[in-house]
Amino acid sequence: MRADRGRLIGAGLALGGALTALAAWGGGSLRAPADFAFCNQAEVASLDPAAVTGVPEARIVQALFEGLTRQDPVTGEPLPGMASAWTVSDDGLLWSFTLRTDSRWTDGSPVTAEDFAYSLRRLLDPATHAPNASLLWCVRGAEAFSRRLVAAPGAAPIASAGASAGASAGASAGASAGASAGASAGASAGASAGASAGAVPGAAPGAVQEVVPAAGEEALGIEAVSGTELRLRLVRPCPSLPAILALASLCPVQRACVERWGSRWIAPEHLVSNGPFRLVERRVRDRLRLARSDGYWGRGEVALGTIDAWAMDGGTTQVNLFLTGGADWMVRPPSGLYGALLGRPDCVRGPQSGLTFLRYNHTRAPFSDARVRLALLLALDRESLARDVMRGGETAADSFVPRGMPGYDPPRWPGQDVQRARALLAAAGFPGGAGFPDVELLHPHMQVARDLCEALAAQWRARLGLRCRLVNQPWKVFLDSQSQLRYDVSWSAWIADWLAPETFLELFQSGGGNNRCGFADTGYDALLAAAAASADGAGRAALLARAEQRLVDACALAPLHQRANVNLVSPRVTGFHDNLLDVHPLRDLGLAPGGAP
Amino acid sequence: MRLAVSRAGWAALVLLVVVTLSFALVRSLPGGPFDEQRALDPVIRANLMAAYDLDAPLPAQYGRYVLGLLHGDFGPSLRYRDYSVGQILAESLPISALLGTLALVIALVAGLAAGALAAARRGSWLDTVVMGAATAGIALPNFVLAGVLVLLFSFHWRLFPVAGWGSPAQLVLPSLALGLPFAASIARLFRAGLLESFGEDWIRTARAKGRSPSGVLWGHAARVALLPVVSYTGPAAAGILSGSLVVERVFAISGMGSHFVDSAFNADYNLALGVVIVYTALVSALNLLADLAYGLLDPRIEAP
Repeated sequence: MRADRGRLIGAGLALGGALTALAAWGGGSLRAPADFAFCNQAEVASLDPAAVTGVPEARIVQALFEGLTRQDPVTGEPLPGMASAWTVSDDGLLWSFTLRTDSRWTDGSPVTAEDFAYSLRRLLDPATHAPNASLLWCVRGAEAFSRRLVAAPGAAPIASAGASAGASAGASAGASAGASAGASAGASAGASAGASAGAVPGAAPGAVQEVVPAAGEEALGIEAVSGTELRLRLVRPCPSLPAILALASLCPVQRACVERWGSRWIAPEHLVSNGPFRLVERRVRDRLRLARSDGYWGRGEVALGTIDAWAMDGGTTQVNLFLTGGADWMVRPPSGLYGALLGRPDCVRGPQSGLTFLRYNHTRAPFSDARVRLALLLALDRESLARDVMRGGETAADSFVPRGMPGYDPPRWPGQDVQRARALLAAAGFPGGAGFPDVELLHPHMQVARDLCEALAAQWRARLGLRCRLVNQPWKVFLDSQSQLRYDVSWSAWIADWLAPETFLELFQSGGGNNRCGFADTGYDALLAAAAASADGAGRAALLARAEQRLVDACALAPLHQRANVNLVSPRVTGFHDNLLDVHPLRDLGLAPGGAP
Repeated sequence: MRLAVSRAGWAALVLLVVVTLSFALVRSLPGGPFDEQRALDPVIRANLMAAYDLDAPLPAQYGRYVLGLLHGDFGPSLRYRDYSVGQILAESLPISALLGTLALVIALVAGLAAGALAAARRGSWLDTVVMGAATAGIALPNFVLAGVLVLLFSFHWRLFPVAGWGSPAQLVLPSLALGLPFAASIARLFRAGLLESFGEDWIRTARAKGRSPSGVLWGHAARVALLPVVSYTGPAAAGILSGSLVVERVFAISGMGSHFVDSAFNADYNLALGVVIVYTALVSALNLLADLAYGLLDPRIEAP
């Protein structure tokens, strides 16, 4: 009897486990493998075009939605998307886009110019809380419309959100965005903004530089002239507008869907999209399942029927999945595995329009001294850092704006010169490094950044006699330290979202949010402003080059290397092209015939 | 019953203390949820902070947060804008619970079987091998074990997938990696308990009365030898919960453990707090259960 009981307990436990397993299964629509699976790095922060900023998000949003333009799979440059053609006036201020008539939302309704007018206005509406609203500030009235303080939805959003139905403050933000944009008469939007302005000073202490009076929506230079023609009136010429319009944030959303479902419009069962794919299933931090959309104008060009996007940020796990055939594409394998991976034929590499560089803290002595900044740069062997430390195909940088920006030839920065570096350091009052304070070298908690900073510190110690203290911080803490100027020298990286020198040069504008080093030069700011106002492409580029020359002269930063793309791509994948922006639209990928998994 | 009620009261108090401390801790971290490589415009940032109630004085935010909790509302996720924390927990808790249950079952079944085998064949080569493996299992961290399992069963033999969640095959490696180290401890405890009771008079009596060796082991000795195992099960379950932080990451499983780690790095205050609260409640409940089970097995301990 007793003996049986022991076995019974064991069997009971096993049975319980099995039952739990069955109970937890539920919806199994993902059981069948997709045509194509890839590791999309982190879980996407959102699928709402207006809410996204990151690269993993862009991959999915640009598959679900398509803007007026889209990115060329070969070059990353803009191609006609929902707009089949566009014209621009001679002064560069009036853009007219002609929409296709043969493309439909996933609910079967046509994609119209009004959809775009609604979506662009929604992106700018401060109640949408779109982090990338500033992308459209070249549009007339947009900056003033966008930079209004709005009150939180309800005095106590968290408490009032209630427990039921998953309502949340973030959710209600989306709902109110729909509501206020819905009242497109403009009067009510203006009124609510005006009302909220009164509550502002206590609400946001010190964070706000200016409170712009509410601008009516009619002042916005966004107009749907007809069902198929959209006009944008700009305040300044913006030659990059077609490239910007291809970005994920500028993708359209369907007004009816957003207004009907409020915060839940983004759920797979409600989402209406206009891009090459539709959303089938979404499991948080697991995967997204996409399927080809029948209403998309270019469906004939879309080769993949279904796609799984894995939310997976462990580098080794992604490599394991790729090597065992569970994924067809992964981005940026961990540098610790380069030895085993870089020589493989399925490892696709090339230059990227991104730069790794050092920020100097211009507000701290002795880094406020240009001679010290230049000495630190000249002492470095950037070739060896790129080749031996980074190893992924990075190239030593001799410019701040990376190579490959069309129509722009950047001024050159000086190369390695240890003798001159020592002389400069001595002239600054530190002969042989004597008396130089320990350099606080800040970097984020990332293997590649740590390896690089250790190598930098070793070169400075050997060549200039300087000692470094490495400060390793988690990403968010690192960004905070950088913004608060709590460092001497800081590892930095920047990657262009589209190919234009401004995407880099704006970093060093005085007082800008991305400046983070205390560099301020009115001459530099004036050159950037002059370039922004110029409608002439060549003249614009010349002004920007003069601006960059001022960075060189002041040695405002230390460029280290132009970054490299490293992708692992299964040989059965077709249509994958390495390019400067490292963009690979899912609509243009395919599988080689007979290429079974 | 009185014991259970007073324990539940203490658990609630512990929960409140944990919530308060965690709230203070996550908020004291530099770097906010909306700080990214590309800085936000200050006005947009101010609007976002207001929308998520992050601009009010901290005590007011804390008050509203606890009030929300009492209504079962964990607030919105600050990182995953399409989800509330409640939705994320509802999606990830069953995954962690299934993984943990399987690991616990593996730990108990494998541990008890190995312990019984070693005790029954005390001193034999089998005993040496089993106990040697158990000692190694205790010493080996689960992420090393996970790596070894992946190497053997995914790369060498190609039996199980390296990552993911959704098919039975994907359950095997993570539950083994999570459960085996605890099986090792259980095997040692059970073996020691069995050997101790084998020396007792009442076991000799049972043998004299002609019970079979396995009858003696499972029917008589095991009842006493299980006591240390049962009291270990509470901490083991808690250990399996915290061990899943690592194992979920290695196998890319979308359970609560992965959220626990990432929410802290993402400064997603609400999600971090939500996961801490659920973990605290689970650990308290598991310890309470272990205490109650102990009372059932040993009548000398006041049964609740």
